[in-house]
Amino acid sequence: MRAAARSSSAERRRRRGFVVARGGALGSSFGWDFSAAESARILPLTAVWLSRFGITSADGGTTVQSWASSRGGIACTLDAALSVNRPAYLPTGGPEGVPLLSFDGAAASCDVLRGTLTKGSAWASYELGIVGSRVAFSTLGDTWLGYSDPVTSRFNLQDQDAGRWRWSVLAGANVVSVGDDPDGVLGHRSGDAEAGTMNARLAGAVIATAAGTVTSRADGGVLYLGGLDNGTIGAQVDVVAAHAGPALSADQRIYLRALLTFFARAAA
Amino acid sequence: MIGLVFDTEAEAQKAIAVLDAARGPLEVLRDETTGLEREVPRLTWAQPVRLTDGRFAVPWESARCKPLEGRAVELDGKAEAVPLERDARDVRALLAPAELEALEPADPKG
Repeated sequence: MRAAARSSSAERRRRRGFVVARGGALGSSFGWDFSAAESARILPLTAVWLSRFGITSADGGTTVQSWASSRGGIACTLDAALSVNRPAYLPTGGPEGVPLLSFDGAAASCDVLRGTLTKGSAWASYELGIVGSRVAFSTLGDTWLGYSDPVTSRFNLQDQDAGRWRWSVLAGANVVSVGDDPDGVLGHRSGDAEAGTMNARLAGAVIATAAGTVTSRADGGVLYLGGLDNGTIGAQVDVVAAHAGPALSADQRIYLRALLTFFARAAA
Repeated sequence: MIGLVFDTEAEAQKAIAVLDAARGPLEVLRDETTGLEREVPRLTWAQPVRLTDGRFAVPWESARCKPLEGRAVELDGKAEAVPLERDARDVRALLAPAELEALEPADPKG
């Protein structure tokens, strides 16, 4: 009877598109397999970067030269254009000793990683997010993570003020995070924009919504992490994991959150 | 922004070359997933910025440059020295509007 119930649960998950772990794949307690192949199948149009995977370090292992997507179906590599743009790499500096990338937010030439994000068709929707924390607030509008099309900033996760952050869409409405979100607190902050609506999300849950005109954009824009892609408007943020791609279905969002949590919390 | 100010772009480029030489012409990149290392030419760390008075500035990033100040290097067969941090100055008043906007931009959303 109990075995039959487990089988039924596994079948339900399989029908929903999740992969049922065999013997606790990767030690996951979520019951999913987070391998690159399975992640690409479940998140076919989402590039995902995970700290300690896809990192190419420089300067004796103290900085990051590039960060290649290691999960999800869109391959993308973010690079530092100049050595001065490299974020610091702290292999055990994150919560519970996980690796993190630390961006300085310097005014003149900030730490920023950037790369082209191509999915093969125009972007009618977006979803971008990071797992990490803000080190300190500096200026309203300082960019944590954003997407341009290809030179005009379109969709950005930015500083709002000392306790809040926001999503900003060109020609759309700003969505300001709701509630206290002090510096130094690890969290999964993300946002999505589609048609006339954009959302700010904390740990995947919608915490603020605004109406706005979110029009379809040409493919092949630039994704930037830590500041705008020209090395300005940087924010002081620590990043454990990040993701970008088209807006996700409910099931894909559940999987992505589990994926990010698993790799962000897994022992280095 | 603080920077070293030079009369010509060539002098600014030379200062950058001296800084690059002090940091070494090659660097090791390491794939943290596989552990593989490869040696590549070191990226130039900065580009000259044209000032409104016709001169050029080399941005000075204290965290990266101060450890190198005064260091002797050989460039094109000649002995050179990395400039000192005390010679860098605030050049914001000499930046063109576009450069200044890049440093202190308006809300990208407008």
